[in-house]
Amino acid sequence: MTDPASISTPLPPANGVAIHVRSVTKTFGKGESAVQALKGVNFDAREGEMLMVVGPSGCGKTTLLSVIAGTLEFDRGEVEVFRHSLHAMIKREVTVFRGRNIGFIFQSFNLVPTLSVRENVTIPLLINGVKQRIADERSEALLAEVGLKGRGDDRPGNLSGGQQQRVAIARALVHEPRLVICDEPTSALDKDNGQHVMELLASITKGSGRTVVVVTHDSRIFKFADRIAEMEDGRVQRVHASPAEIQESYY
Amino acid sequence: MYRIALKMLFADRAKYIMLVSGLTFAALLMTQQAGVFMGILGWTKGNLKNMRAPIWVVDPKVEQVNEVKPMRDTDVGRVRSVPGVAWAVPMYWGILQARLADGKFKPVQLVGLDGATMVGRPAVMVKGRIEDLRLPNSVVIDELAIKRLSVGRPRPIGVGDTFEINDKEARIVGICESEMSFFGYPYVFTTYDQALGFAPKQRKMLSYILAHPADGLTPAQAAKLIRDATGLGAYTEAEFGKATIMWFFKNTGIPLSFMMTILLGFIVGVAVAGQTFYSFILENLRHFGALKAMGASDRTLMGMVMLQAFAVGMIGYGLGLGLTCLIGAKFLSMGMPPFDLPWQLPAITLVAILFICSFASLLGIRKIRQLEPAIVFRG
Repeated sequence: MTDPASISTPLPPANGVAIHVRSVTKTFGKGESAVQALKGVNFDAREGEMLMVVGPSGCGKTTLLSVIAGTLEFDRGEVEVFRHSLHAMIKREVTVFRGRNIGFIFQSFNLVPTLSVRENVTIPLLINGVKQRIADERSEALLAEVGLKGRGDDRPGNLSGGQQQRVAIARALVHEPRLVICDEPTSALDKDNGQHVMELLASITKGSGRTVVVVTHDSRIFKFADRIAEMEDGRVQRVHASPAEIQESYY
Repeated sequence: MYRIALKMLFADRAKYIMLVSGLTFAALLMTQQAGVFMGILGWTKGNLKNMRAPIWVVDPKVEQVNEVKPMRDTDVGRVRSVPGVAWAVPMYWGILQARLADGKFKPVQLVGLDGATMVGRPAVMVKGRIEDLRLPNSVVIDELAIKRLSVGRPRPIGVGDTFEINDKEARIVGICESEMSFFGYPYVFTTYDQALGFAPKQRKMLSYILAHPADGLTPAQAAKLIRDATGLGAYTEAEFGKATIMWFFKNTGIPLSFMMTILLGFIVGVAVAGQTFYSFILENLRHFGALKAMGASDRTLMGMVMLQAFAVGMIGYGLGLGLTCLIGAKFLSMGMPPFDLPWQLPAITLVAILFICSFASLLGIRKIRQLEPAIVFRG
């Protein structure tokens, strides 16, 4: 059985780049109905930063996120995550890599409603072969860290939206991944809950060396980003060095 | 992950109950109906079981044990003279009307045993002695006859009581156990000579000749010698039983009717379990997608789906089989309808349920294999 601390794939010597995307294209459908979602995307994410990907609906944000996460095959280009080339791996290797190195926070939480909160959090550990007892202990610790101590036996349906997203954060971090992928993490939450969730995410990941990539529409959370990549029409058009820069361009 | 799979299944109460109910019903219908059918097949061989003999000699036109085409009494001598036959005795069997105390009639199966040897006698005597059949007008009745012939009497009929068969008085000298027969009528045993007195007169009265092979010969070898030498039909007990069952398959709609019911149980199982399980997978597809995104391999997810399918399958099978046993025990205690549960029936039902589970899980597996984990990013 595996120790949760040793799940992540050993990294090559750090060069500061966590995600390296070059000339990535992705087209959905064929013939006249074909839609090119990514039109040669180039961008990098650094180790330990929180990078937000923003842009109008249909610009390819979610497709880019899926490609980086290895959940969607792309047509052309190169994607390296921690210097592992996703395009060179077979599907099974990508799945294993994803399970060990990536944590997910979804827009609609995607908690299994029939499982308890603790069981939901244990899932990434169980996928990686961690013993149930250790997984339970680690999940309880993470739940305490996100402010849900003692709620492990509850069903997700008994929690508020903000609490459910905190469970999702615990689940994304429980196996100590190097990369956390967040898809619109605040879109299902009100303003206050959205702020609390982002504060929590930032406080847990800051200084941990984890890279966090957040796709969002929510300009109120830009302030949590280290850098912001702005997408338009299937390409990353600009990368803003600071949240203030993009706040200015948005307003 | 398998624990998670089971929790996902059990927590969805409505689907879980629907799945288990469907599979329980399928297992019950398949096993119980097959059990009743096996019981009927057993009843068709009632005469063979009650009047045990290694070789049965009958008219060559007879195809099964429940039909009688009488032979001449001299045929017993012909069989005895066949080399390879150790002994041969006559037997009468016929359905006659017994008159009850209240004047009504009930059919009984009258069996006339060879008076000297009592070959074909009941296996278990509950009361009295079989040898007392040699007394005038005496009969031994089975336990079913006590129920059937006691109508109109202040107390159940028993040893020492009399009743009429074909207007002739019969005195009960013993009670025996017997296996039920296809006709469902009670057995009344007497000697061959007295049976001819009870039965309406016909030109030929000999129903069966029971024979035994000489030392060194198998019943099949001796039966062949009898057939060759006399031109009569001669079967071993097993051959006659098989011929009887085959006759029922060929000449009655009973097997087809039962098979349709059993097939219906199977189809209902496939439809209910397949449809419900598929809908369970569809409802959880998003969660399976999330698991896939989080790194669960196709193999793990397939294992989870199969575990879920086979878990409900085994629970449904267990409940179905348990109910079958309860119903079967009740049937047996009532004496009818017939019921028999050889080990092959639960085994065949198990195979059918496993097939249903495989079918249901394949539907789910197909869906999950096609599932793109990126589905979880689509709002």
